Amino acid sequence: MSEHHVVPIKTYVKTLLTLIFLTFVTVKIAEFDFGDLNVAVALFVAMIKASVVALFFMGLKWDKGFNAVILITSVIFMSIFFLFTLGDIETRAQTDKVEAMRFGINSPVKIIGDGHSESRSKNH
Amino acid sequence: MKQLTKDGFVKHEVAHHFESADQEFQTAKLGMWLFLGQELLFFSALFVAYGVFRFLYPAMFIEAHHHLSVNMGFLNTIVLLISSFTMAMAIRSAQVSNKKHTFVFLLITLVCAGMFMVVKYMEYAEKFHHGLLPARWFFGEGTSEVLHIFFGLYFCLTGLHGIHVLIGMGLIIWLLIKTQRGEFYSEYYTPVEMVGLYWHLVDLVWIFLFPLLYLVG
Repeated sequence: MSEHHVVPIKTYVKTLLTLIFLTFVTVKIAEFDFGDLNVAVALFVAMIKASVVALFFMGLKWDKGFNAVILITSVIFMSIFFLFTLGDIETRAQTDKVEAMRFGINSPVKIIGDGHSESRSKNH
Repeated sequence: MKQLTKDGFVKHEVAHHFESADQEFQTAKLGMWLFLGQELLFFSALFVAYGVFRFLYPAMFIEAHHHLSVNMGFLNTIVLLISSFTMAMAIRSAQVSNKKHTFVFLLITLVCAGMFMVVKYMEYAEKFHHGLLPARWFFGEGTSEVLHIFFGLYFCLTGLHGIHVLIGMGLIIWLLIKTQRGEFYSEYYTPVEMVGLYWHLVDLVWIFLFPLLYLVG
């Protein structure tokens, strides 16, 4: 197996430093409020980090393309799972008025304060 | 008696149904990637559950994430990243037949994994103390009536991830024993590479868990 690609140590060190830097970025940008985009921004940075791990630490950059195809296929199926499920949850109330109110939950939480949060009365 | 190479490593015999050592290695790697692809789909069910409940109760998620310590999560992220680096270095050391370095890097990886679990244990102990538990076991206080749902997600996601870390630790111990026996060298290091891929996946899952649970409010 002498034809195997041995990656220079420098590449791995740079990868680690990039990932640590991106972790600081993750924490810093969480302090800003992007409104509805908060999750999207956090996921975007996480995606970059994940790509760096997959390309360099997992060696996909130097690997046979087929392994990357498997990973990308997995990600595509995950996206389908997300899009259809969340699409359903977000639009269900528009077509089914009864379904829209069925999120009442038997709660073990001891409520403190005046509770301007999602209350059971709103959902029933 | 097993054959030894001139450098004192245990000579690897290519299984008879493979044409070459390289074919054997690539086949194992393909199988490992299929397993990892499955792992991603396996975790995605919990991530979708997170997405659904986050959409339904955005205010509750903001309240809930204040119960988690960003510092602890940050520390664990760095520890896992370093362990991924040392794992990559262990594979590289095996590729260049450096037995001593392979062993040391694997050992550092194991220590990092142990540190991750210790921090996780401290976090769990604190949640248990405040009654921040999943579903009907929840006995904590909060302003949101559905606060227990977040901790259901938190314990399922971090618990499943934690089990993966524990399994990874077991696999690394197995690698350490085999390394000590001199089974890994430039011609054969398949198990190191495969456990390495698995370990990077564990790191990858945590990369998503950290911002989603600890930071996004």
